[in-house]
Amino acid sequence: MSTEGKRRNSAKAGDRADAKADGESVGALGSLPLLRGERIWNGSDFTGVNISLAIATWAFLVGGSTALLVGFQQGVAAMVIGNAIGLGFMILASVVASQRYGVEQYTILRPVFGLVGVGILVFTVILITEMGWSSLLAIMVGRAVTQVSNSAVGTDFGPESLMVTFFALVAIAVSWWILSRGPVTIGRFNKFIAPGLIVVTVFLMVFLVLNTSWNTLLTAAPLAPFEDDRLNFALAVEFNVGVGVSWYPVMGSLARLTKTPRAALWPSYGGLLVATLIAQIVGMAAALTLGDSDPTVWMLPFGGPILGAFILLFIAFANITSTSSIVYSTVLAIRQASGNLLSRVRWAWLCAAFFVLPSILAFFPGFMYTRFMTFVTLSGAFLAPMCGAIIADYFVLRRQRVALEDLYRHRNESAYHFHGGVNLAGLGAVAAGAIFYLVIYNPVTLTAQPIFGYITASFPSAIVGAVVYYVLARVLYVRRGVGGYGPVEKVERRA
Amino acid sequence: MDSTDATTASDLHRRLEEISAHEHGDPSRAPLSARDLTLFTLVSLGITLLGFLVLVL
Repeated sequence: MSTEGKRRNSAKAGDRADAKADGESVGALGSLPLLRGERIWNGSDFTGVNISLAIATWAFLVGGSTALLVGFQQGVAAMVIGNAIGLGFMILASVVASQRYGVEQYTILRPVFGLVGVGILVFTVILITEMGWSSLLAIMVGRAVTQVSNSAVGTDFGPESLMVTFFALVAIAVSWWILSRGPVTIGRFNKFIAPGLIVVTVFLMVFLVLNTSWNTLLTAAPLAPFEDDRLNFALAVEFNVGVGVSWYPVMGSLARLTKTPRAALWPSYGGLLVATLIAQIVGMAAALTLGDSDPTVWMLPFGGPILGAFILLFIAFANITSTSSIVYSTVLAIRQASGNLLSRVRWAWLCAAFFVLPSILAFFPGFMYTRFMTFVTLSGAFLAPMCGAIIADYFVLRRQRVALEDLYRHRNESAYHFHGGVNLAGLGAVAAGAIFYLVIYNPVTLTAQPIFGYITASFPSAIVGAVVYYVLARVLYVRRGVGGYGPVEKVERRA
Repeated sequence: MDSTDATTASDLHRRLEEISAHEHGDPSRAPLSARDLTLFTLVSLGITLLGFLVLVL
């Protein structure tokens, strides 16, 4: 998920990696494998990047939403378990290969899904996931601004009022404007957003320490649980696994800028895990204390009319720049994945086209907020088996070796062309894993098999994705010598 | 060369040659070691167990 602050640094990284960083030539260097001198981050730098990614308003929202299902102690446990598992396999799938080869993450996916297969996933799973996140962030802006208006000038705008939609649309328009200026502008705004959000987190922590006792927190009831306690806990874990996995769309493209495999692996896990847990736990404690899962509701009671309004406006602005960053990384991926189709469309128009669906969704603020958990878990249903297939491909079948030149070759000239540009094993694995997920837990209808209470869904579906990929790839390609799965020496010769 | 890239095939070719000539065996291009991979798996499992510990305490 994706997925707010994390995109922020994706754009920041784009600033530094792109030789020509204006709106039209974004990503000019992005597609080439980076050289040693272009890898700018050591372990300490990358830890900082990941911490600033994870401290974001979405983490408050996740903390608040977890409080809907479980109390404080169970919530902490669910967050630790869910993020540890989700981040664990997401990082192995996204960070390692991109770091080693210095290649943008949707390019390094070509051996797993094929050029056309990557396009299919980018235009479905990734695009819908990011559109959902950006509309949610925009609606959060609408809610924050209407809260300020209600407090400052005595208006009475509800959380689902048309004014929420209006300000969400304004947020989308401003995001588009920032984005159309290119990644340099995004980077400039982002320089003070992450530190500001750290201050907001500390502010919430101080307020909670001053106003809530430990005992009150531990005994606070969840806000809107189901009847079955085991199901509530499993849902909370599953939700947090989904959140961990939702970092997938940007992590590889950031990790390629690190200097060694260790500088990519440990900082991404440690930085994301620790910062996410702190922000989410603070968010959950705030939700349990005030009895509302919406972060925009907490600030006025916590900070009073002036400080609270200031924080809300800051959160609104943070969400706008986050939305720009989400769209930046996604539109770059879309452009690369589209072949000739979108290569001549102007950057600003492409970004505008991205915002069409989020703008429509902004007319349903209540729906987006209440279905937030559904949306995160549903995107996890597809991202998790994707990760499983990638891990099986890169670590098991290819032994961490791909032929760099073949990543960029046309059609039949590339070892990764497969059948018409589609690695059937990759897409088959995602389909099988997603079906498995939806059978044991359907986030739309909220129906779950009894086994879901014990094993949840994302991690098992990642395993299903990995196994299906391994079997199909061996049957369809490895035995026939297709797909560049050959012996190490052969792959290295091609590279 | 990917047709959507702003870079040319010769840019790519030059870069691949540079990588092959100067960065073969460079630490930045090393695979993730089996030791790191095992440790990463164990740490992930350990933190997961820590979560269960929070639950039962």
